[in-house]
Amino acid sequence: MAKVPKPSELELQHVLPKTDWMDTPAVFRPGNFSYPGKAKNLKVLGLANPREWSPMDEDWKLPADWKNIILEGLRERLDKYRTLKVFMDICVRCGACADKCHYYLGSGDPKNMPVLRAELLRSVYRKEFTLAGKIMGKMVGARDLTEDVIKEWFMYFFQCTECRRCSLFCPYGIDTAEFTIIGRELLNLIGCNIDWIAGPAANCYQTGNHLGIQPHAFKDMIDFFVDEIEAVNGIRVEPTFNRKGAEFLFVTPSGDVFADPGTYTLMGYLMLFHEIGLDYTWSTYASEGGNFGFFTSHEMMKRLNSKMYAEAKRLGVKSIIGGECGHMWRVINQYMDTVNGPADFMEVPKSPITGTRFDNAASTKMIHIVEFTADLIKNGKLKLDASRNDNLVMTYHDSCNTARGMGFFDEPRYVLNNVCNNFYEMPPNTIREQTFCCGSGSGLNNDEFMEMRMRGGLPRANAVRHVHEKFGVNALSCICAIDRAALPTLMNYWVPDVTVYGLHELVGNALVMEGETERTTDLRGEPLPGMEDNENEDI
Amino acid sequence: MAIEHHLKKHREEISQKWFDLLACTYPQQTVRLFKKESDPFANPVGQTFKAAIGEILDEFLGENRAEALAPLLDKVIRVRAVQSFSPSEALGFIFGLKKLVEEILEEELAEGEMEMGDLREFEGKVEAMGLLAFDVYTRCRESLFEIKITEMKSNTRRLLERAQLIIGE
Amino acid sequence: MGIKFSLAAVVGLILAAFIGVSGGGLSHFFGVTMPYLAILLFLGGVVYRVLKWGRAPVPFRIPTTGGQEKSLPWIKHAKFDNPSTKGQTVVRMALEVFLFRSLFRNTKFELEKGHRLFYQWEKWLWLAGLVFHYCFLVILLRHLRFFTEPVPGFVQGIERLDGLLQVGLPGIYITDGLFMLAVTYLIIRRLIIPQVRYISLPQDYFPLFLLFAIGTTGILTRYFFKVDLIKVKTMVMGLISFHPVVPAGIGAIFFVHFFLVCTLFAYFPFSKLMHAGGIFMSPTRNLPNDNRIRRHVNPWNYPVKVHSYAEYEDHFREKMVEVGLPVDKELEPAPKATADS
Repeated sequence: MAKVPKPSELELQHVLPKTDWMDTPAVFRPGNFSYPGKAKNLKVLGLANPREWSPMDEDWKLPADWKNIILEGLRERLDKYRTLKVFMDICVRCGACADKCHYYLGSGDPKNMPVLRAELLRSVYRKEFTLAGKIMGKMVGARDLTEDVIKEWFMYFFQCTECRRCSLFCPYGIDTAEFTIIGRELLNLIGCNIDWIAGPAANCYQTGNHLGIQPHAFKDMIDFFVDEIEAVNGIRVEPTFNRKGAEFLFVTPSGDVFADPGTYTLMGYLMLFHEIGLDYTWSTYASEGGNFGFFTSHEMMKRLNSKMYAEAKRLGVKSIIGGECGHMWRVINQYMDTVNGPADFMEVPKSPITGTRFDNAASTKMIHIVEFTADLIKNGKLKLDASRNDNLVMTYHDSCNTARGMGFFDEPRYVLNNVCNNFYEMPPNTIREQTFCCGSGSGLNNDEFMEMRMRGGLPRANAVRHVHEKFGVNALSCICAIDRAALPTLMNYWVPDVTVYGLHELVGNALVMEGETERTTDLRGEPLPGMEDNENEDI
Repeated sequence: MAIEHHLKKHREEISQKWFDLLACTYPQQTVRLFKKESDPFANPVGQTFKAAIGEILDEFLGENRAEALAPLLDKVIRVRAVQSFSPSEALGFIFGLKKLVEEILEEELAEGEMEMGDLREFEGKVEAMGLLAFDVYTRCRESLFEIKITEMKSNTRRLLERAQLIIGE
Repeated sequence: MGIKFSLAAVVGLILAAFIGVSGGGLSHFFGVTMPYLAILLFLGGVVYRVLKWGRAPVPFRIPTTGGQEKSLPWIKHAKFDNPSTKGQTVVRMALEVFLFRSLFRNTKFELEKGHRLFYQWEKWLWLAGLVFHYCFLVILLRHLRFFTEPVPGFVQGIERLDGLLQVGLPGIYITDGLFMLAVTYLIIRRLIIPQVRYISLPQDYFPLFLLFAIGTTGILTRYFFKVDLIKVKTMVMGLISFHPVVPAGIGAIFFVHFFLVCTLFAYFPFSKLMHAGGIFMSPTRNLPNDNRIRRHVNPWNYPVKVHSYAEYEDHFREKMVEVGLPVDKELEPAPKATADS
């Protein structure tokens, strides 16, 4: 029987031995990895090596020539991506990125330092693709590609949320997300992926959205919200589906259709569009704004994203409006037009209400709902009663993708300031371009990964707690569907008194609609400020 | 009791060393960051610990009320409960306080300014805090499981709700 | 291990030059063969590397955005942190190249309790990096005095400014001191910050030790051994006019300095020192964030397998019709559509 350790032994037990990082293998234990992709999902997507396996197994059942596959894959990608090629060579290991990663800050695990995450791939590159590495090996930071290296890649490329915070601070702009994206691509070549990504991607591919909701159910859900809105303010909004000839196609993450609190955000969209009389349609085919393909490979991202333009073309809309989502907007802003464009069958988006032409989307023909709403408010087209949100003391979380993959900062703040009266920013080194990740992005918001998510989200939660204690903040708003799914959980653990809201839920609360009955509750059915008594009378 | 006076006299040193002991349970590459970086937003773990350790000590050396101590312990333990520590590793730092204090008070003990019995009594108090910490740790872990379930429910809440409606009709 | 190895390599280089010149009569090798070889390797290597990088296409325009994007006209655009035109991107790059803008972001100012303004210096790395690079540049320019006849006015101007302190004979250059300080800081930092030490490789220490040795030997050459600079110039002018001569009596210390510099140039293209060229090619910095305005073309964009609407409708037609969703193809009497699902 093992001896019971003395307390003094326990205290020091966790200090890592002085081993070089290359000699420290990745150890999988429940809570620090995501479940591997199920064979059936891989088959739907035509991905390699579908099988049943677990990262905790000794044998990962890799294909016989896995090493060759990886090296060929790497060679091909070095020739295809200048990012990869340049970033392989120019890092000086200055360490500026080291303490910028939320996973590193929350866990203290040195392999979560972005520079080391990149070195995991670089070390193999040196060995196989540089003369010095071939000759001098470990002396120049090169190492052989072994199964242990694959295991380490799997652990750490699925412990990065592609948030790009490190890239902001890098003097050469080295972007760890590129290493993660391409690292995951390589892992996918030999069938090492996670089900929380493969599952939604397979559903999205086949059925049109991550949850695999079929068209009739999708419509049914939206109709359900129509009833809910009517119960709140007596207005019956009339969304249409797959309607040809509409002026706009509207696409949002399907999380908003099924998951709380995104559902309330979706009710906000419905109310807004109804109030301004927008000629728009939903699509059950392109019913997913999110793109878990992006967390698989560039190719999978393109395959899933193709539906947006295809559907816009089929329906003959003039332009597209996109809902609140983070990585969806990174894809739209930085990839969509390149991979699936040109969108020359549409027109430069123009607000039919204000006449504003969105020249900043002249080529993609797709605008963000928040810039659309900001323009409406600026032109005085909306009647808003911000006092309906007076029970909320608000702060705002910039989602990584819209922050560092777009620069979308002042539009949401403008809307927020018009729909609520109490707004406090979190400290400057935790917002805007320096924003901290929710800890669950890039397909890692699964429940088996909960401990890591709580660790990774700690820097964000810590900043929320600060404004909670200092200003009494009780509400956290965001414009990202993964945030809306992950932040409530994060708050639950770290700052339980803070509730999470999507921006357009707050718009929906504040929006005074033509012909509405007296509002007594917000979209969640909670009494509005000052209406608490009425509510009691009703009961 | 004479020891309390001495403990309070050495409060700063105890606090410092106790924090060091806590920080040293992390990989050595990170210890410096946790200890040195003074911006609470650039170093959430280290600064949370630093502040909490001071508060815990004040309460522990002062009135030592369980209901006040528990939320303070929570600040540290909540973090450690989601890092890759076993429960014993996560809470080991509490018991480390015994040896640490004995070393700090070595001189005074030798000179007979306080009795060994005082120290034993103090150690008993530390053990009681250890038990309290165990409760706190368990609560943190429980809340982790609870939020998993809550999240799974809310991820598909509308579907479930709708499904039940249909069955209900 | 990496530290010792790099240190040994630099010491070896020094000894090789010293012994070779003072004992082995290899001054022609170190004075003529080496510099030509080094320049050849440097130029060839840099061109090779840049071409190699340049050959890889830029499939996506993925700048890291560090400020407000160009949006509605009434929203203030952070032109240089999130450029939307080529011109703005040039400014962003200039800020990056000349002022190390991204590294500067590490800086924090904060108000401590009691409203005392408290500057937390997270910018040592930025400062040392900046000082190091600029001193290196000034020192390089000063050395032009050996390559030109007559010495151009700007070189003399730089020397005058640099020697402003007017201390010692020959006059001490400010940049010499600052350069050594900065290099020392960069070495110490790498050694004592555990995270940085953990990630450091031999190729991170080697250039630092090499630069330290270059600085030291340079200072020794100028201030202590007072090498005959006229002879040095004769030799250098001979090299650049392709009539190499090695005047006698220059002193071994100069050859050590010269050899280390040659090594630096030869090593440059094959090392991380190429970050100097790489930054200009970094796709997260050198592209405007204008994807929604102008389409970026991926040269290897290829068609992929997609799930088309027609396939989708075939799969779900019955259910769609049932709830009144419009379909492109009406249901056929025979349930052919669902057969392939």
